[in-house]
Amino acid sequence: MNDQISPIVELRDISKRFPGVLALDNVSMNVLPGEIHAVVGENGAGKSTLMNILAGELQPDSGDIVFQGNRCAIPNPYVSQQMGISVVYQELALCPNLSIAENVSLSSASTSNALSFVKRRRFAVKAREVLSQLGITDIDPNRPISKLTVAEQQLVEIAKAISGQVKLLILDEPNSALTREETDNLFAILRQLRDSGVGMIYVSHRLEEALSLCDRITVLRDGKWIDTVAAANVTVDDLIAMMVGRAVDDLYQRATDATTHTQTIFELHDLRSGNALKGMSFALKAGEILGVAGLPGAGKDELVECCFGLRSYTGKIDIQGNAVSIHSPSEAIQLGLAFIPADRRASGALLVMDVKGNIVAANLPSVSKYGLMKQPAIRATSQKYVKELDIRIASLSQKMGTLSGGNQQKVILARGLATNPSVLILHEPTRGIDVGAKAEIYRILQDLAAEGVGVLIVSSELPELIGQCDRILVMHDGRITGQFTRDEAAEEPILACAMGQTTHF
Amino acid sequence: MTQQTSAVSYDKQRQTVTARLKKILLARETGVFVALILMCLFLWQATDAFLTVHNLLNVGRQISLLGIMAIGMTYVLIAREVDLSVGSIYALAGLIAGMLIVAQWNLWLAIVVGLMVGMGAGFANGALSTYGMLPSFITTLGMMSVARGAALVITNGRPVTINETAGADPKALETFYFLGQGYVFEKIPMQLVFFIAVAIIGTILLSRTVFGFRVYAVGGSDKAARVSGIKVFNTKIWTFVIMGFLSALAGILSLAFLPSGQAGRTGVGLELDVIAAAIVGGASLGGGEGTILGTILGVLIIGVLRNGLVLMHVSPFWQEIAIGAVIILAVGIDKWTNVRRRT
Amino acid sequence: MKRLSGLPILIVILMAALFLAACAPAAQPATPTPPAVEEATAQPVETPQVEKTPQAEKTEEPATTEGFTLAPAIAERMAAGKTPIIYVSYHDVSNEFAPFLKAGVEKAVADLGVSAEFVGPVGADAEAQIAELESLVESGVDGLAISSASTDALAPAINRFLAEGIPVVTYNTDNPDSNRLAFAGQDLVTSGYAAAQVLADLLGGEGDIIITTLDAAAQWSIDRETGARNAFDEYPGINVLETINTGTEPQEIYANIENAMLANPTVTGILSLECCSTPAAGEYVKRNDLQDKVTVVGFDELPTTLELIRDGYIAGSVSQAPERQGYEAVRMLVDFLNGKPISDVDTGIEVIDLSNYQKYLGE
Repeated sequence: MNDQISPIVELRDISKRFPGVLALDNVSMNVLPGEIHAVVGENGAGKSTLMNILAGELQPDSGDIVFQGNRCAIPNPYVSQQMGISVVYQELALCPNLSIAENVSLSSASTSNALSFVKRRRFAVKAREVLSQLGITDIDPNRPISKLTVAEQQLVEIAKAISGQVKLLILDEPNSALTREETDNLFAILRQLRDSGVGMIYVSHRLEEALSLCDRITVLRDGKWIDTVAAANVTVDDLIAMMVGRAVDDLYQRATDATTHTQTIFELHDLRSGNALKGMSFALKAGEILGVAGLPGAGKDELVECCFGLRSYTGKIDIQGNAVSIHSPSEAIQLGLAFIPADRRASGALLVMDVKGNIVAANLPSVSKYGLMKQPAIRATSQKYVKELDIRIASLSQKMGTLSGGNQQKVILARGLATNPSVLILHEPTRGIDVGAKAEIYRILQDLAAEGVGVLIVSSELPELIGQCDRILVMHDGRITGQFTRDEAAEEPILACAMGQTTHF
Repeated sequence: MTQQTSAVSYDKQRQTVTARLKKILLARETGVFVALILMCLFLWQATDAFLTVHNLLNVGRQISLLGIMAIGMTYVLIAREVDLSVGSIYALAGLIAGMLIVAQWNLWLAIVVGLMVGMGAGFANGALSTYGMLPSFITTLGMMSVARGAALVITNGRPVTINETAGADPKALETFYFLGQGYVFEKIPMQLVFFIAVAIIGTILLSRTVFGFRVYAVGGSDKAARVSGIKVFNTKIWTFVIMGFLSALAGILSLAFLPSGQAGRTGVGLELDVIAAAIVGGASLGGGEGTILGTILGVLIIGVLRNGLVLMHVSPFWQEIAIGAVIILAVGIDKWTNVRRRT
Repeated sequence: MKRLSGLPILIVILMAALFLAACAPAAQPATPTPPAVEEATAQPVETPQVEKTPQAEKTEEPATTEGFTLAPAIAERMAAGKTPIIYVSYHDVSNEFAPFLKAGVEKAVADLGVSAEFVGPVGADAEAQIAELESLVESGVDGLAISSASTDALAPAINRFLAEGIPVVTYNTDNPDSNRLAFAGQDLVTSGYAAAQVLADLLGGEGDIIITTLDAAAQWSIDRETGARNAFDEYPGINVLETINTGTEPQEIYANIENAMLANPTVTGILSLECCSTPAAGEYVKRNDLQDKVTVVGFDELPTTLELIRDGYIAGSVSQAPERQGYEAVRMLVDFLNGKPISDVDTGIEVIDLSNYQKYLGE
């Protein structure tokens, strides 16, 4: 590190206590101009608290913030922005009803006189300027946000963040919803920004990316600063060890041997649905973990929706050799299917309900009699899965919304398992989940397969599929363009199939 | 091993006692309850008439019909819907039953027809708000007008009076009046008895049954509920049917009490009182939250306030301001002091 | 650094100024022509002539029709012997009183051979009443009878219709601020005075009284309350404790009376100012066995009110002959269209009590 360059921001011994939790415990770090500084740690390590202090959303209990050599307080987000700190949050904070240009100028709209005229033309000029600074010239700034892809929206978010005089840019999981190609594009833009002297803090769960993108990496665990290291000097395994405080077995390796799977348990014949699915046929065997890969728009979402009765289809579905038709999730559940949806907050968790309610929600007949809920049965069922899946909660009555992402996902998994499924369908099972919980979920899936459950994982994370699955199907444009056994599976040929360049069977 | 288990369970037990205490203290109902007690203490000091059995039973009777409907509204709000048509259904169902009694139908048949009308209107609200894909704010706004209009059409705008002069059978009348005006144990008004009965059944249905669980799930996230195999639309429709049934019941009891009604005035503006009572009691317009106990406390707050303001000789125009302020305060205090949301 | 962009502010100010300028002439009629009728309607409340016996006295004062010219199209149609098209607009067709008025209108249609329709908003609503009248005028009318939801809101509209050459009379609730040709109905101040006098006399000139009204802020209520309080002032032993605003919802009315009675345990008399809190007050007396202690006097002849009079729970009720109001409204317009002079009609004040309730109950 270049010690003579003075940092943009320096945090000294920052502590922050919430009722019952010490979220930050004497954490110190700094960010230099022209540096991308990654902050990694499991959920609950204190990353968001740290970011929120810099953004002016939270005030530290003790410690100093030194910005460009001056000790200062950041009492609110407005001041933070005035200082030149911009934050790009994981959940996009754009107004979908407004255009790109209007969104980019939103912060200026917050500072100028409420009765002054909106200068749309100037907005457009400004937006084009900022976008071209990011190397984007082919987007019309007057398009409404709602018409953009997630990746484009992410770029607009960054454009919005750098539209003022930004000195420090904070990115909180900016690429969690992006494809590899889009991510590469984003990183190119971030490097360009770095070269122009902007300091960046990059928060992510994707450690490989943090290593390739960032200059230095700070690791937090349980609110404590563990270490700040140069990216060039560490490996993913080193980071994981620092994050969890112990060495973790290689995440992406299936522990058990692929046994021979004989009994077909779930089979699709020429499944079609609108323009999205153009004839899908495959068979899932008992005890097998089958992965489905594909780029966004390939039809993966539609495939899981058809399988679980959320979307109408033509074609045939066999379950354990019997032809069935699935019109609704309740039918699917009765037929022995369980589904873990991708969008955990919207479609998975019942956030205002408690944990036990979430666990039994799909399995009401077994915990009720004459329409009355049997509280002891509910507690027993919940208790069983909390223990089996090692869900960390204070009590069964804890509200789902207060759990971490990983624990929420385990609760949703428990809900599926409580129905005793013969087929488990998972859609993006580990999105936004920290590394420890990820490993535990993989272990659970392996155990289930060993017990003879057929597991179908639909995911856009290739390492996950390659590490976990016995077999991987690749989708492109509503069709299967490739099938890889465990030994054949590798990122490059799978991507080639996913992009429709080749086929592999 | 055994020692360890017992230590763990002891620890757990202790934890649950403190957890329970914390839960009770943090519960929305506690805040409303404390506010209610404070209000009662104040009125007891400020007026002579408030803390008398006679007055308290009066208040009990005055809030009963509002309470019956607010319980229905709690279901609808938890399912993340809203029903604006309750005042009109109250008038329509009550007046239909009344007209049938005057026309010398069998009393019980007339009442059942009235209740069916309410459930039918509720079903229409529910079906249009789910399968019809319209927001319930719109469907029930429409139903509010349709039901009110239907009541005016069938009564031709004339008041419906249920007595012998109008042609009702004296025996049926006696029973009907008992339902609305009678007393049990000499003192307790029948309307209050109905309210208590509906409250008990409503509580059990909401907190103990699978249906109640589904209502919370649907209101919490309809997508997640659907993926869990819960029939979202049917659940929502049922909440509207319950709402319609309870509106009709209240409307019929109202007619049995007064015993006359008029399509242009009966139940006008009631929907907002009903929604306000449920919201004050902790139900959320965002769905997924609310309890019958909370709603009852909300109804009590509004009832005691109305009674107290008159007992204190507050000018009628100031009463409006006071009631509005209390609604905003009751919900506001919960939001502003909400510790739960931050953890 | 703060840019003050003045243009939007300027526009707002300009719009406000324009708005005020536009309102000003409407608020103050340009050429107020105080006609003889205006003075005639302002009856001296100090000396009302009220007796317990029925009296339906006509005040035959010539109405001011001088400033008014009938629209040529209407005159033509009348000359051609066409049936006149008349609309009788009531400020709330959904209230109890409306069917009585409507019956009067229907009787007039049968007797006079005209086309007259009873219209108006559901629920008292001045905006809706004006909007409906405007649409009707577009569709072609020969005469309008209007009972105003709000004097202030309806007066400019009435004057506009008159300026277009459409004859307008008022009935039931007058609109003295407008230039209407004539009024058929009861003077509200006088009727309030009469009802209060009945109650005070029944109480022997002393006692504590509460006044109940559906809408204490409405013009009709204010007028009747003024008359009533004037009358009570003449009895030194009478003490008006408060005015109870009951609201319009039946359960609410009853609950408010109930609460008010508890708050005022010394009450010996209730004066209700309209049709609908009258039976509620009677019902309260009946249920609490207070007929020997509390005297109720109210308004109008709803069936329940009549039955409560019969059973001794309501001592008296002031009738305002609603059917006659509806009838006279149409008759006045027909007469006017036929070139006859018209004048205000006082539908009189009649007190209903035990001696004469049967006449009304029979109807």
